Amino acid sequence: MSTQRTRPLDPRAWIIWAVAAGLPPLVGRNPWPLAATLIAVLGVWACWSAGAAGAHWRPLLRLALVFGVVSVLFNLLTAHVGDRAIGALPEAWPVIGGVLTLNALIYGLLSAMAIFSLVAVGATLGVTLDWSATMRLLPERMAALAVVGSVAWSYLPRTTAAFAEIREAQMARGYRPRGIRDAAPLVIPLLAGGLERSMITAEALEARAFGAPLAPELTSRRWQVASLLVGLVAALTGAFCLALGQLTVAGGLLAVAAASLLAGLFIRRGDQPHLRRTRYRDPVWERPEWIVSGAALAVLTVEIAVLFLDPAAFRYEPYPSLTPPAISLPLLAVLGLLLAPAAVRP
Amino acid sequence: MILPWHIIRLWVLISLAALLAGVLLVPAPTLADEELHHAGLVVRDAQGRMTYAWVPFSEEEIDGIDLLHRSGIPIVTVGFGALGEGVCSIAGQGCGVAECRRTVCQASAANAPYWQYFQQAPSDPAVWTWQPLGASSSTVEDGEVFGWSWTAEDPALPALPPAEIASRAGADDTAATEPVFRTVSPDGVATAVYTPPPDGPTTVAAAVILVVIAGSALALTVWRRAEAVT
Repeated sequence: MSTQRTRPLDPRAWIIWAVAAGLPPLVGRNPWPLAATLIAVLGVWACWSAGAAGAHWRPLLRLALVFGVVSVLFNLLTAHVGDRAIGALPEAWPVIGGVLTLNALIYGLLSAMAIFSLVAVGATLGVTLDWSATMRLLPERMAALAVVGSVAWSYLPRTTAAFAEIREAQMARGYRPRGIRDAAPLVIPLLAGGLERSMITAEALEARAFGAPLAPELTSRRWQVASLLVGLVAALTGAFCLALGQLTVAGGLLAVAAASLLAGLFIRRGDQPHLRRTRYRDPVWERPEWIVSGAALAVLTVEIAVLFLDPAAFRYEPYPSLTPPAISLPLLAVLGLLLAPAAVRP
Repeated sequence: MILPWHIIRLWVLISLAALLAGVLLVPAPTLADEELHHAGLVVRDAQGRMTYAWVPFSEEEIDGIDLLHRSGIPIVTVGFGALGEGVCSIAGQGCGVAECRRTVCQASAANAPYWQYFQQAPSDPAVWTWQPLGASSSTVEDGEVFGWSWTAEDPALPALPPAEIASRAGADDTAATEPVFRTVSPDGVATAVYTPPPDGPTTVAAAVILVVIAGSALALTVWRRAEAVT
C-alpha cells in the first residue's frame, strides 16, 4: 500500500465545481446534459469516495435511488398526459385513475436522474470538502452559522453509520426484519443515539463558549442587525420571484440582498474592534485547484450562455407528444470538463 | 333458529358472484344504438389563432376536460385530485407539467395570461360567460359551445352559432360521427411551427460525446483506484 497521502482540494474549487455540476439538473430535464452531468459526477465520486468517508455517504446515494423510483411511480400514476398510452387504471380511482403514458414514465425517469445527480453532487462534496477550511472562508460574523451548518451536515453520515452499527448489533442478537413492524428495534435505538449525540455535541459546544454573549464593544450595532434582516428577507423574496420567473424583480431584490448583507457583515465603525481569526495552516491553492476551478468556471460560463441563447438545450417536455430532445453539442462537450477533479491529484 | 356459519358464508359468496356476473355480463351499449350528442369548442391562442372543434359524444353529458380530450386538439392537463384537472397547454400554447403543477401556468403579474374557460350563451352567440370553477366542474350537453382563451383580459372569442363552428371545424354537418378540428390563423400570423428534431449526425455526435465522457470517467476511476492500491 502507498503511504503517500493526498491533501484535500481547496473547498473554493469544490464549491465552484458543485455549482457548475448542479446547474443542469436544476434548470431543466433535457436528457442529454442530464446524462453528461450524471456520468461526470459519478466519475468524480468514484475517484474520491474510496475509504470510510465514502462508505458513510453511500447509503445516501441508495436513498436517492429509492426516491428516484418513487418519483418515477408518482409521475406515471398522476400525470395522465401524453400520446403514448401503455396502460390504464379505472377512472373511478381518485388521483391515480386514468391512462398511463410512456410520456409520464420518461418524465419521471428524467426527474429521478436529476434528483440522483444533485444528491451525487452533495455526497461528493460531503466526502471531499474540508469543513474546517470551508468555515474559515465565511465572514467572521457568520462563524456561528457555519458551525451549526457543519454540525447538521456531519449528522447525515454519522446517522447512516449508526444505523449500520445498530442493525449489525441487532442481527447478532438474532433479529430478522420481516416487515414494517420490525423497524422498531432499529428506529428506537437510532433515535435515542441521535438524541444522545446531540446532547454531547451541545455540551462540547457550550464548554467551548459557543453562543456566549460577546463583549459589548464586539456586539453588532442595531443597524447591522437590521441590515442583515433586510438582506435575508430580500434574498428569500428574490429567490421566490426567481422561482416564479419574475427575473427583473428577482434581480433587483437579489441586488438589494447582496448590498444589505455585505454592509451588515463587513462595514464597521472606526472605533469598533475587529474580530480576528488566527490560522494554524494557510490554505493551499496550487495547480490542481487552478485546473478544477478553471474547468468548472468554463463549464459555468458555457452553461449560462446556453441558458440565455438556446434554453431548449436544457429544457425538455415529453408532453403532449414524445419528441426527440434538442441537442447542444458545445454544451455536451464542455460538460465533460466536470471530470477535472477526477484527473488531478493534489 | 340460527343458520350455521358455513351456510351464511356460502350464501354471501353466491350473492357476490351473482352481483359480479350481473355487472360483467350486461352488454355495453354500442355507439350505433344510441343517439349522438354534439358540442362545439373554440380555442384562441395569444397570437389570435382560432381552433374550432366539433365533438360528438354518446353520453347525456360529459365534462369540459372530456370535451377537450375528445376533440383531438393536442392538450396537456394535470390532475389536482378532488379539484379536477388543470389545463396546462392547448395546441402548444401554455406551459410544461412541472410549472403547471406549481402555478397552473399563471405568472404572478396582474396581466399575465393563462387559459381561461368560457361558455357561449345558447340564446346569444356573442355572449361568453367565464366559468370560474374550471372545466372539470362544468357539464357539457348537446348543442353547447365552450371556449378557451389564452388571455388575462377580454377573451375575444367569436360570435358564431354552433352550426358555423361545426362548419369551420371541418364537419360536413352538425350530425358528424367523428370529432374534427381545424386551426385558422389570422392574416399576418404564421401557423404554429414546432422545433424540428435534431438530425441523425447531431444525435450520433451527442452519443459519441457521452460515450467519451463515460469512457474517460471509467479510465480515470480505474487509474485512481490502481494508483491507490500500488
